[in-house]
Amino acid sequence: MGLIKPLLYTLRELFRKPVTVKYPYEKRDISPRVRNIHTLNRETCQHCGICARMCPNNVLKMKDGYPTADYSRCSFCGICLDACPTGSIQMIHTQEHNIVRAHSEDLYMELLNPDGTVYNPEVASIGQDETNEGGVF
Amino acid sequence: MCVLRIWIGDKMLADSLLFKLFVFPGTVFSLVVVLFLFWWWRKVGAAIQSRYGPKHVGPAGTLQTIADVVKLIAKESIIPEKASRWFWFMPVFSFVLSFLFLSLIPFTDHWVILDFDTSLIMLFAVMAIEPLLIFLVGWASYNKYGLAGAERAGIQMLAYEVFLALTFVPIIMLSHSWSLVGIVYAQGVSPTWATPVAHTFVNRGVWFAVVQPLALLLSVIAVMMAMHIKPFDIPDAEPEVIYGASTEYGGPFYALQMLSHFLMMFLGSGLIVSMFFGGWEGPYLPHVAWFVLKTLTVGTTIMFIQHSMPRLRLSHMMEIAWKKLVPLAFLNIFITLIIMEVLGWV
Repeated sequence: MGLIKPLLYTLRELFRKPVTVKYPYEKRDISPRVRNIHTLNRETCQHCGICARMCPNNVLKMKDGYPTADYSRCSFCGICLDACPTGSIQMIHTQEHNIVRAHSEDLYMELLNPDGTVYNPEVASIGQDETNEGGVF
Repeated sequence: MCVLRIWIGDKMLADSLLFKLFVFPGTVFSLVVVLFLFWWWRKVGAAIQSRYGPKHVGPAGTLQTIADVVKLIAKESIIPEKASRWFWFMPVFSFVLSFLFLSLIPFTDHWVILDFDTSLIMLFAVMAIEPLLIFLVGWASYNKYGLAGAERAGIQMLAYEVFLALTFVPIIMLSHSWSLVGIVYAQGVSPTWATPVAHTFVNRGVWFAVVQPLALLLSVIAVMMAMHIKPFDIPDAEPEVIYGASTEYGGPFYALQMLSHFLMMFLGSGLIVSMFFGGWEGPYLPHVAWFVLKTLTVGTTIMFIQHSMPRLRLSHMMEIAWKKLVPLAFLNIFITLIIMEVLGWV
């Protein structure tokens, strides 16, 4: 009986649909509660730099008065959100956590606008990629 | 098929030994089967583990094995500094040996390369050389894991060889034949004997799987031990001895070893089909198709067991083989003898 039980289990698995998702061709919905990318309201930002100082991984750096992010190191902990005195930094939900680039310096990016659009199309940004063709997710 | 009708001297091409050796069931066919079986093995394993398996190269990933073999052949083959100069010789010889095994397996009564009255003895001899070769492989590579794996292969060979031979004894008694073709004839309605032979089991149209279920179980276990398949893959257990005897073999040698492993897997299933499932006999389809279908079914069952079981420890394997399976094989012989005596099939 001890021999038959694992065989029955694997037999059941044999005819079940694989749990693997064929990722680039087939995308699984992620939870609607996920907040997985930063946005910055540039109207209310006070340029205080508290977010950059509080960031545990030194992800945020102040550039031209606004925080920019090095996503190669970000752990998406959300401490910058808590630190911001005006609530300018927020995190929004996107369908895909697409922060893969060929070179790590390309991961040094401007934060998105609050509505999820790209702030400066001239500079590399999170929503901007050859595969996404400049669109946002 | 018109190629098959080319006449060479007084023989058709399809009847010549050369055709059998190099096309069917020899080199070309067996390479195709091996490549298919490699892909199929991956697919079955993936399905059991809730994955997809290879799916990009070719339709449903069928060409993945060809791509892998091409990649492996293109790689450099590194020969260790202190290895024996016969290092390269062993995988090549084991590949050749698996073809010797192939020549003994009857695909049909026509499509068999070597058929003689005592082909089972020859088959045992071939199966006994294989582990010896693995031992030499491990020794030649001058590697501690290689030697440890080789030692384990030797121990395992001693364990299965005995009860494999004992398992086939009742079949030989029932079928009155030492040849695989004769054993297949004994299970079905053969062309030579149209009626059941009096006072024997022969030719009653019953598979040995029905009358000898214990022998079937034992020989499946023995074949799995011989091919180093999962519950008995002690000789090449990855976490313990890296790849056993063939640890040092890479590139083309590794490709050869994998190909011969899958060829042996196919032929082991073919042996079980010939012994227990009536070989090529079957309605509607051509005989060769029946043989290949049955063999692939048995092979798939073996793969299924392989992916369901954890590995046994060496001592457990020996305990099972020597203390349980050898007495079972003897018991099977005695039961068969008693039943034959009672029914008057002597």
